[in-house]
Parts: sequence; C-alpha cells; structure tokens
Amino acid sequence: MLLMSLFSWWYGGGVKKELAYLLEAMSRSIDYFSIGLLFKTWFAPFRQIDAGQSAIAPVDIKIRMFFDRLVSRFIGAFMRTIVIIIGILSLSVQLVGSVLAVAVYLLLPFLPVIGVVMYIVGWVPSWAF
Amino acid sequence: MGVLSFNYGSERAAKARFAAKLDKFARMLLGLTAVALVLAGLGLLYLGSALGWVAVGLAAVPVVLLVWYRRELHRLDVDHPDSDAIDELISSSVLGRLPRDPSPKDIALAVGQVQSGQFLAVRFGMGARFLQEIAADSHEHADEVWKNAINIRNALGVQVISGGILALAILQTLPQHEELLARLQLDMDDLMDGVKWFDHIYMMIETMKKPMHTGGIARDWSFGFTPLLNRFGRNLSLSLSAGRRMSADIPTHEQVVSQVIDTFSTGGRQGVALVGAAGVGKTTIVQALAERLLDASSKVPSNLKFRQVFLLDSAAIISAAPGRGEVEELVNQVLIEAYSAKNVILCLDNAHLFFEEGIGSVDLSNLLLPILEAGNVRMILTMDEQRLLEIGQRNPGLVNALNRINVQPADQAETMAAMEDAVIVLESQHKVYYMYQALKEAYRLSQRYIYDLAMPGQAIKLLEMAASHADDKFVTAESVEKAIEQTTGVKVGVASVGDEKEKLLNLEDLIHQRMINQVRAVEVVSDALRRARTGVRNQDRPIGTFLFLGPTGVGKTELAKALAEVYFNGEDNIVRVDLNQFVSIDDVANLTADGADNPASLTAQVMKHPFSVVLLDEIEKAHPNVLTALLQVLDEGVLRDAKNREVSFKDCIVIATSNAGADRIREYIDRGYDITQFEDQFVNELIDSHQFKPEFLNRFDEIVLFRPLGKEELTQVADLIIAGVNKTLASQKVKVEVDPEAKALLVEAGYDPRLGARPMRRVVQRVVENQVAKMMLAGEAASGSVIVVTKENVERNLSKTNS
Repeated sequence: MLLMSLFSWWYGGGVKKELAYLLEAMSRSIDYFSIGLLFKTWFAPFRQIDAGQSAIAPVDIKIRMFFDRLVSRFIGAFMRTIVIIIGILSLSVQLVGSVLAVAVYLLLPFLPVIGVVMYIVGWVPSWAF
Repeated sequence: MGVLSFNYGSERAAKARFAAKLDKFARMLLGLTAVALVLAGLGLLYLGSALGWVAVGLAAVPVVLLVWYRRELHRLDVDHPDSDAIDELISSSVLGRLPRDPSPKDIALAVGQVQSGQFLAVRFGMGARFLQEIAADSHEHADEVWKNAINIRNALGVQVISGGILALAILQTLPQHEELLARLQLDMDDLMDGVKWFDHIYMMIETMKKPMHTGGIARDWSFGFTPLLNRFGRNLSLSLSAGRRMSADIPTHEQVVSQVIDTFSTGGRQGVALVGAAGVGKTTIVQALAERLLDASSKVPSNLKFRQVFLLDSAAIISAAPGRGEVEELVNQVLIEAYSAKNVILCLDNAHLFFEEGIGSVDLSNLLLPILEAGNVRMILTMDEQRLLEIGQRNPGLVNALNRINVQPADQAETMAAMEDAVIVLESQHKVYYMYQALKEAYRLSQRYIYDLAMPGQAIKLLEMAASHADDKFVTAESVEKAIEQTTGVKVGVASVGDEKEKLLNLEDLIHQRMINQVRAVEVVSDALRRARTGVRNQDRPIGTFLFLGPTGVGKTELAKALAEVYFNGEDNIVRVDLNQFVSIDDVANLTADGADNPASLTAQVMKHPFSVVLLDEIEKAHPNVLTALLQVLDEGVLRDAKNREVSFKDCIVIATSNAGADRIREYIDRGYDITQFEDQFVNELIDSHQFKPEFLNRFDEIVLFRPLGKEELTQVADLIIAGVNKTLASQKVKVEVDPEAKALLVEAGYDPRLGARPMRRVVQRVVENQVAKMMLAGEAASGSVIVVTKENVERNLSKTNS
C-alpha cells in the first residue's frame, strides 16, 4: 500500500509541489534581477544625482546639472542594460534547468529499473579523452 | 458528526507510521546511502563495470524517500476535514505513534513525544508523565477523548487535531479537571490559547523560512544616494532585507500602519504624528510599516512601494555638530538628501528631542515646520500626548501641519499575543523558558505596578525583569511576582512561607510588643493584613482604610509605626503626611505634586513606596478640599498626580488620625462607658458638629476609638520605654533595672490624662537616661554592669528637675 501511496503522491501532489518550488525559485530570480523595473526606469538617472535642486538655480548651473543628469542617464542605461542581459540569460538558464529538473523528478522513481536495464545492456561510458 | 472511528489501517495512518520511522537518524542514513551509492556507481562505471548503473539507479530510492518525507510525510495534510474517521483529522506526528486500538494512556504517550505536546508541557507545566497518570488505561475511553478533541478543534476553528488538542481532550475526560487546572493557576481557555500559541509560532517560522521579495538589485537605482542618512540614521528597511521580523502585528498596530499608508498615498500633508504613551508600540509600528513597504507581495500603492524608512538619530546629529547653528545646517542637509533621494520616509522617534532645547535635544521647529507644511518629505513623528500638547503650545503651526494618528494601548488579548511573540526573543537572550502563567501574571501585575509605560510594553518590561528570577531556567508566575516584590517592595503573592504565615497569625502579639492596650485597633488592622495576604480582600481598594480617633499620646501614630516595623519591613516604609500643613486650598497641589518638584508629596512618596503604611496625621486640620481629594484614595485606592499619572494606593494601609472629640471620649470614659457602647453615637456627634462630612467618614473600613491610658497601662508603657533604653545600651553591654517602687513613682510623675504616654517618655528621659549618662561618664557603669534605678534616685532626679 505504501508503494502505491508513494507513486500516487509522486505523480499527483508531488508534481504540483515540484512545480511550485521551481516557480518560486524563478520568482525569486525575477525579483532579484527586477527586470521589469529595469525596463521601466531604463533611461532614468542613476542614483538621482543632483535631483530636485534645479528649480531656483541659475542658468549655468541648470545647464551643468542637465549634462550631469545626461551622463547619469547614460551610466544608468548602461548598467541596466548589462543587468537586463545577465538577468535574461540567468533566467533562461534557470528555465532550462527547471524543465530538466521536472524531467529528472518524473524519472526518479524509475531510475533503479533504468539502472538495471543499463546493466543488462552493458554499455559503459568511455572515460578516455 | 456521526460515530467517530479510528482506522489503524487507513492509508493516512500507514503513511504517518512510516514517517514516524523516518526519524532524524534514519533520514541521515538515507542521505549517506544515496551519496555512497552514487559514488560507488560512478566508481564502478569509471572502472568499466556496468554494475555501476545499478548502484546509481538504486541511489534514487533513498532520494525519493527523502523527497517524499520532506514534501508530504513530515506533516500530512487533512484532505477530508468533515470525515468521521478520526485518523483523517489527527496530526500525522501523533497518528504515526498510535497503536492499533489506542487507550487514552497510549494517546498521552504519543502526545508526549511530539512537539505540540511538549510545548504544552513546557509552557503549562503539564508534562508527559502528568498526562499519562491522569489518562485512563481502558480502550473504551478513547472515544471520549476523540469526541472532546473534535469539540476543541471546532471551538478553535482549526483543521488538524494536534498533540496539544489531544492533551486537552485527555484532560477533559477527568471529571475534576477544572479543579486540577485551578491548582496550576489555569483554566481551559488558557490551554486553548496555548494550542493557538504553538500554531502561531509554527506558522511564523514557516513564513520566516520563505524569503521576502524586496525588489532586487536595481530597486534603488532610480533613487538618490543617502550617505548622510546612513550616517545619522538607521535604515529600518535595510535591516529587514536580511529577514522578516520575528513577530506578528497585533490588530491595533495593523490598523495604524494602514492609516499611515493611506495618509502617505494621498496628496496633502505628508507628516504623520504617531501619538501614544510609551510602550504602546510606536517604534514597532514604524518597523511594521517599513516591512510592509518593502514586501513586494503586500498590497501597497505603487508610489510607496519599496520606500525606505530611516530612523533619525538625534544624539548622533547633536554630537556631530556641536557649534551654534551647525545642527540646523546638518539637519537641513539631511532633509535635502531625503528629498533628493525620493524614496525616503524619515522617522523622528521621540520627536520631542527635535523640538525642544536641552541636553540631547535641539529645537528645530523653524527648520522642520516649512518642510512639514510643504509636504516635500514624508515624515513620521512619534511622541506621547503630553509632548504633543507642549509642542502645540509653543508652536501651534507645527501640530496643524501633522496628520495625527493615535496609538491606543493594547487590550488583554493583544498584549498576550505580543508577549507570546516577545518571549521568543527574550528566551534566546536570557536562556530561559517562559511559562504561560508567567505571561498572565505579567499582564495582571504590570497594569498595577509598572508606571510610565502602556500595554503591551508595560507587560513585556515586567517579563524581561522576571528573567533574572527564573527558577531552574523556567520563568513562572512566582518569578514575575518576585520581580515586582524586589523592585517595589510590594508583597504580591499569597503568603505561603512559614515565617510569614506565623507572623500574620501572631500579628496582634507582635504589635503589642510595642503597643499597650488599644486591642480593637490592633485587631482590625491585623485582620485587614491577613485578608490581603491570603488574597481575600478587594484588590481594587487599599488593603485597609482606618480612622483612629482619640486623645493625644494614646498610641494612634505608634500603631502605624508598629505596623510598619512588624510587617512593612521597617519604619522607613511609613509614608507620613502631617495634614496640619495642608490647611489652605492651594495645598491640594502639594499633595499630588510631581516627585521631581516635590519629593515629599503624597503621590511621590507612595510611588516610591507602594507597599507601605500611609499615615495621614491630624486629618481634622486639613482643608476640606484636601479631604475631598483623598476620597478617591479611600474609595478606589488611586490618586492622579500633577502629571496625570495614576498612583496606586492598593498595596497600602491608609491610617488617618485625629484628635477631634478627644475631650468627649475622655468624658464618656470617665462616666464609665465602654468604648464600644458610645462609638456610633460619638461618630454622629462628629458629623453633627461639622467636624467631618458623613461621605468622608463613610469611606473608611473602620473608625476606631482609642481610649485614654490609665495608670496601669502607663506602667506597661514605662516598661516599654525602659526596654527601649536597654536596647540602645545593649551595644555597650550596660543594663538598666528600675525598682518597682521607683517605677510607680515614675508613672505618678508621668501621668497626665490629657497628654497620654508622651509625658511618661519625657520623665524617663529626664530621670533614667540622665542618671545612666552621668554614671557612665563618671566611670561608675562599666561594660557588663547593671544600673539599678531606685526610688531615691527618682526622687532626687525629679526634685532637681522641678527645682
């Protein structure tokens, strides 16, 4: 009975839990890289240098601040682009990893049988490089 | 609900038993086996043996079992909450430990082995052995346990029947369980609260295990740098990024957090004043706000999401800017930084430090007012009502620029919940365990004895104090009582120690060692104390309130002193107020003055000595308004001081003395009346002659008349005074003995029916003490000698003093 219970959970509630874990891990990565936020603020000044002091400043200072902010926007865009790229790559890798994890999860209870089959087949990998 | 059944062979029960077998050691073994098989398999494959595949494949078996255990077996869900089968409802940890046909004793054994059962054992003192002893051994009684468990589960509104619920169910099978619990200072509601407490901790740990989504690495990139704020403030949000707070918010706090969010999310004034007494949890509310804003999953308006809360440190600012005007300049820069950063909420904790000049504080009203009025920077100011009123008096505009949110003290249920969370931290700090009874006692006693704080801080402070009185690492109700007794001197527990019991039973004899006669007065005072120390008295009034009436020198004040010495740990614990100094209407203020202004005020003294004899001497001389102010003391045992703090007199014996009608008492006695015969009539005469108002006299528990002392009693007084002289001389090993004839002479000389025992003391002083002093100076009384005072000595000394 226990074996039946194990299999019915493994391919029922167990799969749901496995997917939930993987989705939670994805969600954590998405939060970590905050790609949505990066897109929204792609060209915003980086760390708001001199923000909020332009209203009553003389023209020369305003011009200087404008260029400061322009530089800040470039730095911000550069940084964000880098993180967006790294984030997308990481998430893609994680997604592939998750799909593989699901596959391994589904196969795991049959690994002893597969092992026996492979033993009968008799193939062993060649370790010579 | 139909007939309940326990199916040992059900799938859930089988799973639970299997899970019970997979204990820590078995799981570790499985893990090691999996690793060993994988390594062995890879090794064999490396060596060219296909048997390696079998080893690698077999490694999946322990892995599968471990995954199954972690994700399902360790805590089986209840899939059929309406089932009649009890095995579908019991927590898997207990279910896995039950035999085929369990008796209540078997259930108790299983409960004692699981965390929820052990939790009850620790928190309530109901150990596994206790449960097994009270549980029946017959299998038929199991049905009753199941039925009780279902009822408790329904009452608690939970799905799973935990070990804690089963412990309660077993207890309920005992017909005398209420009496049994009463002995542990508990009732069923407390135990049900304990079950909820365990579930709450479990849920909190589960929540804390889940990482909080806090916006990621780019969260703050669009906002400004905050080097000054980092230096002169504490970023609450940053500390929360490391992990959630180990506490759940009480409903009052959640409500206030929502109010703050509403205020900040709308336009208009962006300053919030959190107003509440110290201890209500204003800083905790700010932390809860910081957590809610930082949690991506919480429902917060987008313009507030991920905003960071900085707690500004006034001391750091003042120490960094010692020069005149430098503080203003520095705070101005900090404010500009907060404004520029765009994601900062500034919190001025104890905001009065920023609005008044003093040590550790600075008045920045002029700087902060325009910012608060403009609403450019979101700010939270925390302070108490009094401080807000003071600030408002000096600068009304400042208060108008703030959105005021009141923080009310927590009620009993909320305070208990807050304490249940707080003990988790306190236990790890002090390495002790808090019992539930300690929490209940802390709530009850802190209300009464911890001043200047509100709930829940009031109760938590007492819990912290009690940690140092832990008994064998357990903080019990007695530990809490000891903490109060040590800090306030009040005896809060019920008299149980042998010495104290003896003292209480023989109180009259002990008092009479320094009091002559006045039997009734001594008796009523002793009775009041006995009632107090056995918990029989009304807790919302003073221990006793007495009016002593009688001529001067008959022992009214002496009785108060004797009582303080015998029971209140010495004459120091007498709070004496001479009401002849309170004759004008303005003197009422002196009665309730703040201790800082007038340490001799009645409220200040009682605050310092809450367990004492309060002696209100010569009450007839006080202004009527003073007596009116004292009505509340006599009635409810409280008096509010100048700062509106409630000072408790509930652990005091209040004794008022008066000479009013002394001549009438003497007259009655001379006419041969016994005191009890004319007591009522005498009190009526006092009311008729307008010396006291009936509502004032009516407030006393007892009005006791003191009779004038006769010559026989005065002889006993002389003995007491001579005993006092001998006590003083004991250190010099000199003893005084007075001949009976000499004593009679002393009494004759010291007797004055109008002045009572006082002339007697003066005579002894003149005759006996003078003689001893002279003999000692002349070298006639060496150590170990006995000075005998004879009739002749007395006559000689008296004639000298008379001449």
